[in-house]
Amino acid sequence: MRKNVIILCLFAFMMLSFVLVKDNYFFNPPDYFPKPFYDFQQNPLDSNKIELGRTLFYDPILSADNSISCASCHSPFNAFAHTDHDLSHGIFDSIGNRNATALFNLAWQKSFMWDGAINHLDMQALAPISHPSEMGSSINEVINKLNESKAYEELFSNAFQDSTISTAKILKALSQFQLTLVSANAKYDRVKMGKEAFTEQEKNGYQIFKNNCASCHTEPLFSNYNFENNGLPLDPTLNDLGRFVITQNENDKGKFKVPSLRNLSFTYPYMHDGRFMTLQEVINHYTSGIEHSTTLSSQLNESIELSSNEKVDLISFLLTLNDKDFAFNKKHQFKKIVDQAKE
Amino acid sequence: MKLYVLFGMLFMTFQSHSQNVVKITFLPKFEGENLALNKVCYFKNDTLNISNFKCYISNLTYYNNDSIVHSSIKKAHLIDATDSSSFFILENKFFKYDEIRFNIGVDSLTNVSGIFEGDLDPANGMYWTWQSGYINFKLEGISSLCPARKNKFYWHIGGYSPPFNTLRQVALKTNGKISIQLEQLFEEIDISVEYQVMSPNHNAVQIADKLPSLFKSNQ
Repeated sequence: MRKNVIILCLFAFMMLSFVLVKDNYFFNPPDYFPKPFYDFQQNPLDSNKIELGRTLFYDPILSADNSISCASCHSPFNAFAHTDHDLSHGIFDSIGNRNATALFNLAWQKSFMWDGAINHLDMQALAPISHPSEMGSSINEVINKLNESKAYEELFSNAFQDSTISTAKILKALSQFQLTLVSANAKYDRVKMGKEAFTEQEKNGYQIFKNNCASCHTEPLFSNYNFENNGLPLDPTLNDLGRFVITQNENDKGKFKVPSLRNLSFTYPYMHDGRFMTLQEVINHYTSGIEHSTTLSSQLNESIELSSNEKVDLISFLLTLNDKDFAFNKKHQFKKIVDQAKE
Repeated sequence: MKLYVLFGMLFMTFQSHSQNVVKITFLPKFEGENLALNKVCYFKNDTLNISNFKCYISNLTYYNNDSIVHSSIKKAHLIDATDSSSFFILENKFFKYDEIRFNIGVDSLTNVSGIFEGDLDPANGMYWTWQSGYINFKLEGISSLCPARKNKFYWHIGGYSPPFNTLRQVALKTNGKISIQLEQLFEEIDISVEYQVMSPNHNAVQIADKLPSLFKSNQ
């Protein structure tokens, strides 16, 4: 009798752990990450919804002439940024006015785009879909096209138990896929978890980082995701005033969202307009290129002085933030039909 | 005999049905007439043709002798001049009221809470995709006084965060028949100057200030 109870308890425990594991299966950041900002209760992660989101993310059906997908400018191998292009480019070879941002750790961000124009992850995709020089379409047009597809009928039906296609379903599915893009397995993370150790040079670099960069590029996400003016001279060919365009507030002139320093090797060129190709150029900007103005970040009022050795050490630390597992994670990539047949 | 019973039952269900609901109407009007889209009309020294009118009504609350008797469950209701069924709001409950209070537009909490279905679906054309936020009130058309290309004017009034908050409150003593007197806007706005308002800014705030007085009770 007692044996039965024990077995029953064990069985119940196994079932419970299965349920708990299932809950966290798609989104499992390390303990030292802060609480995510995204409200998962409004859009609970589900494998079929993530799968639908992933399919949509890689499908050029979202653009007017079926030529551009989200991944055209947010490639998985570049930590979902667009390497080699200073400014993003879209439909009919048009060129935008900003560098495509890397997509990872989005659940911790309160606003999106370099200027914070978008206030919720769910609403983000509407912007590139309808922008005339990105995808040049509209959500209504996308719904019409998806309604003609048999494959999507099944995908929507699997995800939502109802094959009717709506704006909310498309956007929630896209959010779900993007929420699973968590980058938390760089060398920095493994050191944090006690699995690896920094070299002497990386240790030095970490100290230099903490003294000079960490107030805006806060650990462990390596951004506070606030808006700051980092002293870049205005490019007169773009005249991009950043956050000011959204708020019309003089105090926001020249401010852009602080980007994360994770995955820098995959996400060059740097800055909102992709003006710097190398990390060396970026660091030189902070030591000798800061343009002073009324909106300059208060953290940059005092100049940062680094010897050439210190610059090298700092870069060696920054490279420990590269997360190869993230950039080459098969779960995030385009799903090939061959793979599907094998599964 | 059987027929009498049947009719009697039908009559009773009809009666109880009409007693169980409250129905209010918001009728878009132009100079006392029901608004007709894409129809030329003459107003003062202007030749006007309104092509599009949409507007959100939200946080609808019913009062009787200054105390709340009912709050509408629906978060926001979209009035769309192309769909006359959108002029009615139905509450599945009967109550007495002498006043309604509501917002013109969508409140800031809803604006920052992600995606919604139904009246708040961005596919309804009342959402800015390039800068998150609902358009609270939209009026478009052609005016002979408008200097823009093809004389087209666009009033897209929206913005939820200060200093460009365009949500406006209305309190109206009414029996439920409300008209939206659109001609008033053309009296108060110089359309030769303000003919393109399509983002949260000072002009949008100024036009938003004029919106509550468009709503009049028919009694």
